[in-house]
Amino acid sequence: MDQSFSFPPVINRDAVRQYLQFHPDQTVHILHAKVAQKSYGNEKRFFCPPPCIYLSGPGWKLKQEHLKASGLGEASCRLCGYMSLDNTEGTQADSFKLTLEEQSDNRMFACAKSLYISDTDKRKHFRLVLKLFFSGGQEVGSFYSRLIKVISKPSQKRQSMKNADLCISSGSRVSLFNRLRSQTVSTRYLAVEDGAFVASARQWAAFTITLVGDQSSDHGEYSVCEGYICYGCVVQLVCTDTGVALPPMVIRKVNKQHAILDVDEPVSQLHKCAFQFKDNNQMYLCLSNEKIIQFQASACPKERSRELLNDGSCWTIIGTETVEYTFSESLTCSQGSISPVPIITALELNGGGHVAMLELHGENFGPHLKVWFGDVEAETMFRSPKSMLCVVPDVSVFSGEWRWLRHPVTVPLSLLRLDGLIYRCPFSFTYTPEHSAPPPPRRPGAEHTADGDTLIATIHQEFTRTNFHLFMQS
Amino acid sequence: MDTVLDPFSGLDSFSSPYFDDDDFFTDHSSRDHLDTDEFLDDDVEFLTSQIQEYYKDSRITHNGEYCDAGNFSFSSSSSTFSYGCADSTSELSPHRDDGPLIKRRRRMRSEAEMQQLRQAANVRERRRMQSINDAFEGLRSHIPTLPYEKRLSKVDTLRLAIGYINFLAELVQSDMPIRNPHTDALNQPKKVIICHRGTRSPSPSDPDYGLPPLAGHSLSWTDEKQLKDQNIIRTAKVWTPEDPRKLHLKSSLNNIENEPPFDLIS
Repeated sequence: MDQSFSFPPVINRDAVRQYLQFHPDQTVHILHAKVAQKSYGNEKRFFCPPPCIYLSGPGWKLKQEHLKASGLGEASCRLCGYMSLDNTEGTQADSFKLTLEEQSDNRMFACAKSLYISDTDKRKHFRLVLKLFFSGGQEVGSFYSRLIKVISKPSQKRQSMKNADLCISSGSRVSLFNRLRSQTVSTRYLAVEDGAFVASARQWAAFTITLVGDQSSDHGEYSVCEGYICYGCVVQLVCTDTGVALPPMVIRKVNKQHAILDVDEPVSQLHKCAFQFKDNNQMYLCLSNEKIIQFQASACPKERSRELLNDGSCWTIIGTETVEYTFSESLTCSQGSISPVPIITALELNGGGHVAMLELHGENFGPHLKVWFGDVEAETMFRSPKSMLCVVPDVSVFSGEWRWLRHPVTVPLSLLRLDGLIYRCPFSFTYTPEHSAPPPPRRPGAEHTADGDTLIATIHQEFTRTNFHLFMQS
Repeated sequence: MDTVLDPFSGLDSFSSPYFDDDDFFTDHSSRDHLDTDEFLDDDVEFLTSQIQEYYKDSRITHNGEYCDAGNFSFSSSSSTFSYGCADSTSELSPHRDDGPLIKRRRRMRSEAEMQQLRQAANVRERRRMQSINDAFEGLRSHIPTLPYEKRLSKVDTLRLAIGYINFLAELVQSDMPIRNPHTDALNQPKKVIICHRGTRSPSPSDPDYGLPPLAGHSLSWTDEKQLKDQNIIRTAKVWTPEDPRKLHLKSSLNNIENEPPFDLIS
């Protein structure tokens, strides 16, 4: 931590409340594949789909304005970024310089097209690291991807379920791409633009792949099953960004441009596959330049269990990960880096009665962090970089008004650094009112046979029992 | 007090054509008395409208109060003007018996007349108080009490009535804790409950006055991002790629559905 605190920032309930109202956040979103194929010798097997980043939130513009206000020129306030593997000793040569471009949805987008991992790197897993800074040299921070598994080449053998990290589970995210004659330049990624599926040469989207039960309806609602995706299963692909879905399709193994209809083994990373429409099983998901269309396969004369496909209907499937960092510099005056960014991976409640404790599990914790419940700071204890503990504030601090105690109160959780930097976390915390202990046992079935009088008697009884204090007042 | 009196000043102007001001003001002492009564009445009116259902048998209705006030001026001119308040007309009989009263009004009242008016006012007041007491009795009978408790005072009756109405409203609204507390307790996983430390004693102005006191608050958290992702999947809209073979068959229709040509222009 090398922040230089120029003067103590004003962090009080009002300031945090204002932050919570407007959320002038800066969000960094990193999308990448779960596995990367190793490059041998002089090979350069670029990661596919290319790791990409999205910067969103009004905080970026605010920060730039802030920098300009402090006297920096336009040229010093541009955002720049480099992406590299996490071990390389800071040599810029191994980093990919990102070109950030602003999209129509105000997000900034960049992708690292030429990253690869050489066989001299002996690790089984690695992370990508994104370094962001302003062109004037001011660092924003470093952001890490999730772990990426290194593989030598796609598995050709029947995949075993034991090799869980190479299998694709229902509900996980995948990317699909198509490469004509194995040419990198011809790679197109399944994506969604303006509500329609497209084959984009520029951008890719992550899709949630789910196993779909047979009793699917036409209303976009499907019974989702657990388990690994196997060939022959009916699946649905839903774009994680836009929520646009393809109709239910049967996933088929592809071998030498044939869809093989009688294979039921688990789908594995980087396998070639085809998607046969469930409602019309001659038709397959296919690209034609940038368009996504249906392609009619022709039956194989020699083998009944195979169908002949075209180039555009053979897809490569790969699992993807996404990681999101959201923070706000709106309350801080320090110009230091925002990293290391704390990450909460799990929460645990303990205690009860008069004091309840919330334990945070995660990474990059430190004694400079405090947990905030909405606009209320909780008493926070640092245990280790992976564990923090805090006292759950009493619900009455959120409700100036008595009546709100009768309704659930939900507040966002955030971590505040001592200098006022806010790390927003994806969790919210809820206080739900609980009524008194149940009344003394009543005759079983009483409520079914109860006529009006006994019901009223019960209500009377309940009222006097629970409102004993009212009778004591006079 | 001004606002309370307002309706009666309206009544004054309404009744002025029927008897002279002089007459009205001669009865000054009783009128002052009446004013305070009416003020009380106003408080009770709130109750009567709230629980009119239970109130029927006490014979005096909201209208009856007006009738009562009206009788003061009308009884002598019209014996039928009684809005069907049978007992009120009979009790006002001294007025009616005294037929030529209206002629003598311009003169100073005699001692006997004053006494008569005084008596009548007392009777009305007694009757009014009786009706209020009846109403309180009616209300009291609807409020649950502890078995050993002595008769509730008026203020306690009102206080408990407020509490009880709140309690019933909550009972109707929520899926009551009263009906099935046992199954509730069985089905729910162990909760971390925090007791709240508010020690203030409840007051009738609290919106939750009369509701069972809370045992505390159970604590939980939600991964909002996960929730959002699940929501996207749940509300997914299906987009079906076009089948090129069918394109020439139903060309324009399919185009509009999947890729409006106008999009390209704009």
